[in-house]
Amino acid sequence: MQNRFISKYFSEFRYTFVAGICIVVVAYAVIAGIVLAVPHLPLANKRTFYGLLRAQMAVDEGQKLPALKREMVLFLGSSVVERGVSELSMDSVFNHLNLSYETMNAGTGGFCADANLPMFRAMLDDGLKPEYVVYGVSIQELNGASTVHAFFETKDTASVKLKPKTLWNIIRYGPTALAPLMSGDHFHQYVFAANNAFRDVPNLNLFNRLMFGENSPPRDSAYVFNPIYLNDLKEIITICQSRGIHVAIYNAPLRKRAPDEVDIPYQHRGESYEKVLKLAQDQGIPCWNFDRTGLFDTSEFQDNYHLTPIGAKKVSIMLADSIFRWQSGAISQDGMETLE
Amino acid sequence: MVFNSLAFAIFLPIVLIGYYLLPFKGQNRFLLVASLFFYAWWDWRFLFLLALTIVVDYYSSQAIKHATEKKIKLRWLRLSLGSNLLVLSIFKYSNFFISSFAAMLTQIGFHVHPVTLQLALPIGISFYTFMSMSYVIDVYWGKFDPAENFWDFALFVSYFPHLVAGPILRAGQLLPQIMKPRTVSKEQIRDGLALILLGLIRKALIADLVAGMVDEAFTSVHAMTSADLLFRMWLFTIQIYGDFAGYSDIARGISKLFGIELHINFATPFLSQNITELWRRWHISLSSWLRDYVYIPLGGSRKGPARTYFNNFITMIVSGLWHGANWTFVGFGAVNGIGLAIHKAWLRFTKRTVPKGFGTPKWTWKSPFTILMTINLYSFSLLLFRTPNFATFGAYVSRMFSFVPGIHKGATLFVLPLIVLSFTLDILQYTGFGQRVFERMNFSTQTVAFGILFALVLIAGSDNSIPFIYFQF
Repeated sequence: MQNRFISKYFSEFRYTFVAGICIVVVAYAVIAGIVLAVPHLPLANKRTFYGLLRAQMAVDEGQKLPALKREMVLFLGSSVVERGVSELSMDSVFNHLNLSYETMNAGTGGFCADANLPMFRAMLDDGLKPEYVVYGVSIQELNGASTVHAFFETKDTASVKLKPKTLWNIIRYGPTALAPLMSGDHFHQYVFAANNAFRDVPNLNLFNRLMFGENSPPRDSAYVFNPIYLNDLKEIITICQSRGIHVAIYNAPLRKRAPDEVDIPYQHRGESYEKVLKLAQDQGIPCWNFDRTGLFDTSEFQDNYHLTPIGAKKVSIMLADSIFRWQSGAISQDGMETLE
Repeated sequence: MVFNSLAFAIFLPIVLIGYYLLPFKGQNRFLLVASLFFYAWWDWRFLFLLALTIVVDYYSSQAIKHATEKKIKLRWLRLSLGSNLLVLSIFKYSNFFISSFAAMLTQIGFHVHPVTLQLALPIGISFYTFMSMSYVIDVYWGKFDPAENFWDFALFVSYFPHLVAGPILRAGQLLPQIMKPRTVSKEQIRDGLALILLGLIRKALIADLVAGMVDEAFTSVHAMTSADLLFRMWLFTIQIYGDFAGYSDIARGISKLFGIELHINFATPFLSQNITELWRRWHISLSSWLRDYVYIPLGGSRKGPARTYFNNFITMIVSGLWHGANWTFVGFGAVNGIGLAIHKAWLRFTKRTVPKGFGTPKWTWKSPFTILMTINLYSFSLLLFRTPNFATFGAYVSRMFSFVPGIHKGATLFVLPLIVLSFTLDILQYTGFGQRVFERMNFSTQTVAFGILFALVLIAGSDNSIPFIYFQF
């Protein structure tokens, strides 16, 4: 009978596991330490962090625009905007049409549509002067379950980690970008709403809180209309109109229902769009619907809600075209019949 | 199962515990089962294909050993090579051949509707097939006796750290370690953990972070300025290096935990002063495989200068095709083949030779310029590697050289620190400086340092665990 490997190499075996466990413990202790030391830093919800940094970048970029003599088209909304609007593609169409517009995508990912209003106010306070504001809506934001921000133990699990743009931002702004991370007051200009959103999610253990958050994706059966986002959208429209900023709404596309994917409240997409359309009609502003049959192929979606870069390019070109028609005076409002 | 996934984080400790609890013979069987499980996690059906390669090559090598006539040995070698190449042809190249043939017929006026096979590409097929083929060839050449034990050979081919993305190991490197009882030291474990961490940093902090920006360039070529495209060309070089060198580091690190040493696959390739040196430092296991089993059998440099250049070119075409079944990969090989041939001709013209080893010339004041030139030539060829078709490549290159003004500040600023980080890691790794620093630390300090680096990977790593690029080969 041969000796077991461990009988000769027990010390090495112990070393391997003790070292491995210690490394993991130290790593999570570092993360926990950062979270506890800087409570406003949303490490757990880095998509939000990313989205909000985009907003911060929009302010910084926007302040440079007057020198370029370009007018800003500012996009607001959730992750469907953040990941669905390609600034490069839109600007390329604008250039082609000889329009002196510059696109700025300030979509805030991570289901933090409720961050849009306070963020928009903060951006205006910081001196941002957009010519046009286009708000992208998704059905997800019109129900009451949207304050959760990540998936856990679902098929479309998204491991939520810091996005490249965060590093990009830190590299670009250096200490300027690091300062708001460390200063609660400054940081909260942009993040307080999002931060509160993730703090209020119940039953989060430390691990989930740090790494994943909790998922309760709304289903058809659980769909409850919640006017909070619509009210915020109304407020954004009011702010824009009072400042002479042109404002429009677009309905972001959803992927066709796939039986093996996590369900989303498809049955209520008409109900949601109807409310948005009514708001647009009341306010006399454009409302473009891109959630139309045959407009997007399933392959152009990364998941139920989010487009691939190719899909994003496609919708961006359509948006640029809509903006072109809008700036020449056409206020088009796609009716309910255009809904998939 | 990918190394940078939760499933693997659970799998590895279980395999390590089982491995340490077993005696030597049981360890090999256990590692084999674990390796097959690792592979089946992706798609269990392709286990049969892996098993076919193992069975055919094991029995072919045994038959070669026991055959007394050269003719019979050759017959077995042909059977083995034919079987491996057939599997590769069907699963990797069939659609490429069919569509290329159809395109050729269309060119000469025959319009056909080719039927392509709806086959998934078995993960890592090029890696394990090449390993297995080289084993049989070496047995045929009489370099060593084949493994007597079937299970040892099966483990050699399917050993999970190298199975899906290399390095392409030679039997002489790995089999002796499999056949003999192994030892393991604390230094090996420390170095193994360091390599795993280094690989994760390369993958999560470098390759995955730039992936989005690179994708953007290829999907929106016409929206980019020339400088943007140039920076993204460099970014892809950084991405693929971080991705593949990261995988190789993790594979080597994991293997060290089992007391098995795998050879290095990259050695500061971007400090190379010419394309010959670069290919000796880049994907070393593939380059040396191609040298030994394609370039030298073709005649190498023994049949005059013209034949040498031709052999270089053909070898690189094979390298391109090994990477993927697409004409763009052939183009990638061709650009590098032409580069190598020109470099050989230049050496001949200037009456110089390539030094042994990595072929590093003496460092002079010109070295930074030759390094830059080499990086740019290789990065340019990698555009063909990345691009889905020649039309996109043409659009990319023509726009890059159209001097479209402007610059996207993100790409510019993004590329510089990542280049610095990538080079710093290389220098720390290959000068041994990083290892020496860690050796001087006590256990607690090492653990804290590793823990902080791991936290950095968790915090700053990209959004999703993007599969390793070389899995598709």
